[in-house]
Amino acid sequence: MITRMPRSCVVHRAALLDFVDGQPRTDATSAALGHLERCRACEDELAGIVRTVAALRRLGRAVAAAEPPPGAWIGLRSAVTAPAVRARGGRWDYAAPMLALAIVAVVGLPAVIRPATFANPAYGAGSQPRLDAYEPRIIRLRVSGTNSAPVWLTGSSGHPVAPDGDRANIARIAPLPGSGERVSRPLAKT
Amino acid sequence: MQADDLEAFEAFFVRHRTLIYRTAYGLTGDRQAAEEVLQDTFARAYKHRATLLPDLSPVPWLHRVALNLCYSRLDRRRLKAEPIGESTVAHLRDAATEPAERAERRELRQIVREGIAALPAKHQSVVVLYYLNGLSLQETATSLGIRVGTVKSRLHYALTNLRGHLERDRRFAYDYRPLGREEDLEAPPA
Repeated sequence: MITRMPRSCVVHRAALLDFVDGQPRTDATSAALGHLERCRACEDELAGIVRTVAALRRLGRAVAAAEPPPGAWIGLRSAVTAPAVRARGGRWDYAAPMLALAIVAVVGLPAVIRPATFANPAYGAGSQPRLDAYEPRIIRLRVSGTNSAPVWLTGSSGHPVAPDGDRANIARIAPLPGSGERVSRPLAKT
Repeated sequence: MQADDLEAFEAFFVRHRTLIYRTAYGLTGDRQAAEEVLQDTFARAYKHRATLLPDLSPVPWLHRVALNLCYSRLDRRRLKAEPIGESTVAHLRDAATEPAERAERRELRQIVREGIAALPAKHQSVVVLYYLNGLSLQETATSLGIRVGTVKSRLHYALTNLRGHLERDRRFAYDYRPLGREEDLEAPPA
């Protein structure tokens, strides 16, 4: 059951604390002491606080006699002026190599497994990749406005429907008739 | 103190060392641990000297670091399960033969320390500075950069919480039971 403290008790308890702490007496202190004679709850509260303060002061007396040891500065000076030696075996020592490994794994793995997993129109919708698509071959390219010419395709994908980068590669390896014209698309295998 | 000036740092250390050492000793009850906390606190202050603002009191910062170091040490000590060695046996033998009153006082101090440790951080600071280090209300307020009224309010809440902690502790049941009145006392057996 929660019981609410009467307003008069709330008002007087701050003054009672000051009284316990040895603060100078004021009108509020006198009023609080008068209240104490009539209120058993505040009397109990005050008694508990007095015992608590006494326990704290006893601990304080034990502490008051303590002085820092005379050699403390020498030890501290040595500690702060010593060259920083990096502690080995900390958890962060492995952070950079692990991060590098993770980046390599994230960036490099898709490049390795791309033919088997990336969608590519040449494989057909949803089909398995054609393994022979990665072997170098002769294909015939139609160059817009002129004739066709066999080209030894060694582009990075080695694929008949190579992306733009491979078109440039093809053109560089085997300049086509009608230079300057765009390679439109591959036609067929020879 | 912001430059690499060891003399200025030594003056800074001398000015604040007693406060920090007494705080550490009050909370750990162990001179060796208090010396370590003192050194670690000021080593951190040296490391972060560039960020300590010259126009603000460093006491709240130093005090908070010292309190954290004390409690992390106490937690470690509590978690560390050491086999009973010769020194532990000797300590237990000494404790068994020390006068009961002295043992009680030591236990009382330990319970009060545990009660302080259970307080919120801002209440710990005012209790330790005011009761353990013996600063005045004004000095406590200045050290922590807060108003005197705030110090009194925090002390009020801290004492109420601490009182509850002490009264709940069975080891302290005799000393901290509420004071009984004559009518509360049981009649002696006939």
